[in-house]
Amino acid sequence: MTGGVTRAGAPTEAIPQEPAATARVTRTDEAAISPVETAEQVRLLRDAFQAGNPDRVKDALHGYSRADRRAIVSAFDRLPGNQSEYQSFQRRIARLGLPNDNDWMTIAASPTGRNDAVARLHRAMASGSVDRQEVLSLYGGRTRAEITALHAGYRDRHAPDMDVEAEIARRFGRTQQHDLAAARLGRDVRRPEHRTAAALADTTQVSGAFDGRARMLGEVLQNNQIDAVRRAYQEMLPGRSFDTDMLSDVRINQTWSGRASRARIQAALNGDRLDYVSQTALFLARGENYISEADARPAFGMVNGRDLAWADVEARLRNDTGGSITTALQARYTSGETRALLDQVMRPGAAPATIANQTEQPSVRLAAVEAALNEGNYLTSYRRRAAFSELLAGIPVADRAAIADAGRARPDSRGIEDQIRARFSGIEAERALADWRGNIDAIDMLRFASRGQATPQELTRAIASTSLERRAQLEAGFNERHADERSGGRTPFQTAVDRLRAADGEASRNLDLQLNLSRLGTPEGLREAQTRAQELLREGRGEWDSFRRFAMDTLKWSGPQLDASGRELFTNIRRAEREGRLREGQPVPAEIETAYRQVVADYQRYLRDQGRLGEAAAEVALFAGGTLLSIASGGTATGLILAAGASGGLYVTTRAAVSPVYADSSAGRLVTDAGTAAIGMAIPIAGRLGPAVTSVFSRYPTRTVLTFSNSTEQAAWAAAHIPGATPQQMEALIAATYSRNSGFVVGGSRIRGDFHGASDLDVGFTALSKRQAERVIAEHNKLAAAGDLPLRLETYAIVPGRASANVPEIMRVEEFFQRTGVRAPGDPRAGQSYVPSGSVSFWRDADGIYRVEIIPPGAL
Amino acid sequence: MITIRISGELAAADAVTFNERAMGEVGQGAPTMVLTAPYQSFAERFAPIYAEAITELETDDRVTGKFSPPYAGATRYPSLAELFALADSERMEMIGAFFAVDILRLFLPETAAGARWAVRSVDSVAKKGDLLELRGVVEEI
Repeated sequence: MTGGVTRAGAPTEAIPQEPAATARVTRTDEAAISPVETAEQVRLLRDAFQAGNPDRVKDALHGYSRADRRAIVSAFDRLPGNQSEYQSFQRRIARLGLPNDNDWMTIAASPTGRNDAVARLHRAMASGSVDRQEVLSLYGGRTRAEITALHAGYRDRHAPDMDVEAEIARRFGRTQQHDLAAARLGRDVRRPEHRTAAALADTTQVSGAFDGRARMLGEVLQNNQIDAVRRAYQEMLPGRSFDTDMLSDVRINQTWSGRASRARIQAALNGDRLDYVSQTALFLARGENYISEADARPAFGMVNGRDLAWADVEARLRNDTGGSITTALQARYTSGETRALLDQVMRPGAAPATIANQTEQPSVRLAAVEAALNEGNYLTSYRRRAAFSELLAGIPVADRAAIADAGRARPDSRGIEDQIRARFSGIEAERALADWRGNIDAIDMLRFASRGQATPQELTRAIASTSLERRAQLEAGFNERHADERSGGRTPFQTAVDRLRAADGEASRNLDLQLNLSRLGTPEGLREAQTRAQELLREGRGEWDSFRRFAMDTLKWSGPQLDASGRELFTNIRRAEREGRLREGQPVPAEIETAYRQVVADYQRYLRDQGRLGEAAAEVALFAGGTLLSIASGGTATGLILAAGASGGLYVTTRAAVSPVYADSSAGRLVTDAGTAAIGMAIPIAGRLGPAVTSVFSRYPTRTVLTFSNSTEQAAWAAAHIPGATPQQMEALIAATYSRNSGFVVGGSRIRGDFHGASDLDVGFTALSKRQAERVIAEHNKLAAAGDLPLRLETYAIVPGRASANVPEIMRVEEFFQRTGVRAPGDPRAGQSYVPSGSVSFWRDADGIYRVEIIPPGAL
Repeated sequence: MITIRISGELAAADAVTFNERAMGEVGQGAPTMVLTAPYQSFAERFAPIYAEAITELETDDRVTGKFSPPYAGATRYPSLAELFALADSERMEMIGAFFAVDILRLFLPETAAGARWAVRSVDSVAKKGDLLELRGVVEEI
């Protein structure tokens, strides 16, 4: 940390630099986290949000620097649907009514990494929200201090311990803020009255200034703790008067609400419960300020207690109001929850009740429900229904029967459902009734969402757990229930989805994911999923129908992107075919082959039906085959689609960004910027294309040495196992290197298997100098440029002993091709990880024997 | 004094970097770079690099038993001054094969955390009066 602390306001006072021993904490702005690790944390974060588990949210980000956290949340934000997961999580947390000053909440509240925990830190002082390399500002009234992780309890062997109390005292001076900050940082505020006193002393803690302070004091009064809190406050702040401090801010405020707050505060300080309740009633009746039920509850809870009666309140205020406070309140609150609560406490002979269950009483809830139904005449039907739905969200479905009973017990009530029908019509009435009955299912939710009456989160929740079978049932059920909505050859289900897609991009993405891409749950590894796909396909026609539907829906709904991808894909494949670069692949499992053929036939039929002849039907259908297999594999749960590329190279595209990455078939992993996954499906997809080339390691999975009698045989073998190479090219390489008493080693993408059409051939030289290698490469590339050789060589000379800023010293060429890491800055793919390619070495022994050594990744 | 212009706009020296493992990967429409520096000081710094390379190439010729012309039609290795007097295509054939990165390294950092641009190709290196002029293509990183 540098600099010191400034006191806000004028004049600005510089604080001396802290001693070196405690000044080691610095801000770092560069993320050090690797892409692979980032992807893993993003996955954890998403899982945590989906699970609604704040502790897991915290775990996903805990221990990372601010820059790393920013990198994680930025990656999180980029993936489709993640923001909505986060918003859904926040909503669930809010509904749980959890306090928002826990450290996990601090983290969760700042998914963009931009809104750091400054203000919240002040309230929570949570060690988890302060990273070791961060400096956070602490505000106390008008004073601001920069607090490091050391203050908040972080310790490691590199950081000197710090006397928190002394440090805070030095920064804040002996002030009220000092004591509170020190007490909190030292976690010394334990007793309830101390905590309350600390909160009361901290004006920033009390929202709404006077009203909030009056309410807090009312709560203290309710619990008969005024004296204890007063003592605790004055112990913490020697020489200060609790009463004076509580009233001091209000004294200068001469507005009505200020005076009313002062009266309420004074009543609480006096320990006069009747006066406090009366002043609160007056405050409510005047109605200058909106006061929520939560504010009124403690006060009127006192009335419903043992020793107060509403008649006493009436009597107490008779002189102040010049009339009946009851009448005034009834005139002010004609309906709604506050009125319902007041009705409870003003009712003659009302029985004592605990504060906690006041609003849960059916009669109170009935009043609130009726108010929500009947208020808001000036609002649109949608807004009124939305308000009604929002209220219902806070009332458990199980409790609604009791509310209905309360209505039936009241002679003037018409019943909730009748009131709903009278108030709403059409789909608004359907949604309101479904909300009230609490039986909205995925079918309803889809329909409501397609009409703009359900949030994407609601839709996602409704569909999230649907199984393969359930999804088919959903569509069939929807079509059956809404059969009258069939139009233009589109089923009601298709129409609803079309409408939703047109109206809401986010919902559309969620729908794609939920309906199409997560049938089989989270990926357990594509290899296992492939087996599962085969099993499902073997099970019979019904499963096949489901599979077919998924593939077709994906095609129909993903539209232009899939079309474009399919066209590009097959253009590449045809080119590779013409150029003779496609070879025999591994056989496709029969069930998947059959499934694929059916998809092709279906899609061709679909195109005919839709009058879209002329489209590249077979191409897109073939892509659908890949999509089908991908769906079957479960690998699309993260939004990835597998596709086979030219020459058997495999690509993964994200649905949103079309970000091609590569498959490392030899290592059995898919490598993407979103992480890695097993590659079991790669071979079947490539194999289905027939023409796929597999890596040399498919045939030689272990380290192997082969011998040949002459260079012609050696070159022929090389051309047969290095995609794109020809015997002529390999003979040219052999001649150039052997004449210089060197061997050469081929590695990189054409050995790894993730090459594309324009990929260079990566060649290293075992016994050439850098300049010699550069010469061989230049001469070779001159021939390639003239079209005499098919592949260019990588221009970077890979020779032993070479080192540069971005390339650690090459010990052996074979070692170079076993490297793993992250691409350096300046690389077009900077930050992305790379994995070993393995290598194939070519040389001639002193005894004239020509040898080839195949070294798979990790086998050196 | 070294000046760098990216698509005509002046750029700071530390705003441009390069990665010799990523040369040649140029996207369509990539910005152009023009770097100028006093030729004399360049020649002084580059001369030992050039001399050492020529020695290695001569050694290579002895190993293979034949002279491999560093550019089409060459009958011997040119001196540094001769190199910059060659026709552009001949000079760039030799520089492209052996010296492009060495020359970049004289002017640009290879690890510049704050760099905005990365050189992707060196298309021309020429002596223009008292100045060395290097033209290439960069990519925003």
